[in-house]
Amino acid sequence: MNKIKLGFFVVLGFMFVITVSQNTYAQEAKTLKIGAVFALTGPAAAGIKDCMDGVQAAADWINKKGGITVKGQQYLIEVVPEDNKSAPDGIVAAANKLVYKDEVKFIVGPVVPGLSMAMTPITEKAKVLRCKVNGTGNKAEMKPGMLYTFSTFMEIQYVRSVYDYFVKSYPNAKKIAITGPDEPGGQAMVAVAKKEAEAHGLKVVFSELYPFGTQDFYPMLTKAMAQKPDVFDLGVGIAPWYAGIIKQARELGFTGPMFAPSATGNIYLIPMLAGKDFSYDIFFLDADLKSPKMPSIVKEARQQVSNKFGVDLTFGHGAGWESLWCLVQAIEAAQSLDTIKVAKVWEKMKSIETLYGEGTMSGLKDFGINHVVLKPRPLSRLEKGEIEFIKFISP
Amino acid sequence: MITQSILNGLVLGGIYILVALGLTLILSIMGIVQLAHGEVYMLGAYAMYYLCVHAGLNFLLAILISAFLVGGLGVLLEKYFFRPFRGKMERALIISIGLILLLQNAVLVIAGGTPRAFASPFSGMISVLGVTLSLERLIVISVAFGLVLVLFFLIKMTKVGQAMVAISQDREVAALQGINIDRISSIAMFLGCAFAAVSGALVGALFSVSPFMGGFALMKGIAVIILGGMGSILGAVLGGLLLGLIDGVVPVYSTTHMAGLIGFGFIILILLFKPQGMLGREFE
Repeated sequence: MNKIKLGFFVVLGFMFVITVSQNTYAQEAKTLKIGAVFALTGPAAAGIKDCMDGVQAAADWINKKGGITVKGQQYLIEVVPEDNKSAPDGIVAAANKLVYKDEVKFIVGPVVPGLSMAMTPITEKAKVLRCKVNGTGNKAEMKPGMLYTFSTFMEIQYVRSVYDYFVKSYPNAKKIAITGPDEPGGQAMVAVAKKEAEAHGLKVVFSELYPFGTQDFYPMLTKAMAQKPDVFDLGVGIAPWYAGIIKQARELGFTGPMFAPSATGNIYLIPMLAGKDFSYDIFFLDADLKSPKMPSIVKEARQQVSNKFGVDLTFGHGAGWESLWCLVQAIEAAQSLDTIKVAKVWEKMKSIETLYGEGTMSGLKDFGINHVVLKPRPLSRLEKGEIEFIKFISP
Repeated sequence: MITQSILNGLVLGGIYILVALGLTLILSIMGIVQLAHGEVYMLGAYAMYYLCVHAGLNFLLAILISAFLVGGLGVLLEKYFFRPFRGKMERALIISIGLILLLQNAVLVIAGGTPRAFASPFSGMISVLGVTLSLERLIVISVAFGLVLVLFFLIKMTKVGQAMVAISQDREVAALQGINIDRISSIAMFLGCAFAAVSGALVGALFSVSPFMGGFALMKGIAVIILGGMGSILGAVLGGLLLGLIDGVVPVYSTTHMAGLIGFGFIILILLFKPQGMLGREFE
């Protein structure tokens, strides 16, 4: 009987210790709300919704590893998601809600440059630190005076390297057609691509911006094809737009190479939407994330996204993941939740981890402000409908 | 280049006509602008995707089933959402806006936001004298004109069609003549939604399927029926062809933005001189 009593008290004691320790843990770990604003509806949603899922997966991954530690205080991330509806008024409403209702001090997103520009005045005024998922490099996207706006990459920094690769791989190509969506990011990319094409000895025979959300590219492509280009630069965009141009250009008889010095959001969608037969001789600054040549952290992210959402990791997931991860690294480096202090530390960081390797802070030369993460980017090729990793490139 | 651009314009015209036919039919019989018509078109494309890709059905059979299913949904929408507000244009408009959100989000929950694609069996290319057109685009033009003929036949040669004409001219007098307004409204909604489903299915095969594809269809559909004339089938054909040709030809010689400018400028011009559209009549 005494042994039974003793056993009972030992079990009770254990339960007490576990309960107390859990309560202590719960009391110690605070919650840090981080806003996430992406296009979940509207014309940009098709390629961008993955970014939001990537942020959620990264938050779980960071929380599992103990969250964020600032001066010994542990913080678990709570993502506050908002849909920007692919429209400036949508993102302004989302930004106002996050800043003034939810009172977040940190935000990640969006992707589309024009939308980012629409929310910048709100976050800058409120001193809310924001990490855009990417950017193209329009001067209004990132410029001196934007103290609280950072970006995980800017496409224009990579255009030269992509053209270097192109002219080496296709020495016989002489005439190029350049296109992109008519929004600030697309405009910036086309302008930079034209300069780089000419600097690389290519003649720009066609250059046009198409309206945001276009599905039928036949009229634009008919005009482009009349100039008999050897190659198409597809500019910046999302997978459904690229797929539309590829399919329709091939239908109209274009058999040459096509490329974009930009990510697609989900490269796996392109052969699915354009058709495998048309998905050849194409390369993007995007990742075959299933390649064994990807860093081990990509495999962790794949596992995390697969566990949480039951889908394969895409570049879009990865881009969302990196935006939160870079922000978290900056907070930990600053050992502060004061956005002024975090911003000051972040812009001076010499090393920052990304999915594709070690990055550093850059942007002073291109944008007059050191707020852009410069990192290796994967270049991938589409051949016979299959995606294959080519190599990592750095500006 | 001009021949190619005219052909591009005819394909676009075919797409616009397909969307506008259902919209104008619903407007003329029920007296409502069904703003969720774009979402009905999107549902047609998704039904097609699931029937072709997941159920493995033949493309043509899948179109028929998709049209029947979406038409059936239209009957339910008419009975439970629009019939209670018949004659109250503002309320019907609010209902249709609500339906946009409801249907879009339902598809988002069920199918997700990732665009889908399905292959059309008409995958070849036709090239004649330097003009190239995919077979699937040719099918769009053919189906559009085929459906116009079916609708004309239905309206001119059948009792149901004549009842539709009577209702569109004066609903109260038609009712006094013994025409069952509810039944004819249901048939009109069925046909309107089935036409939208067919156009969604064909356009989905041409481009891709996404929960937000309806916005474009609605915008073009409304532009076409405003230009052609509210409630006029011939007007929808004429309006669709005109806007299609503008969108197909102008970008080749200028820009896509200029096509939008000219297209909508033309609509404003027509409305200034003929407020009911080219072949339309006034709605109370």
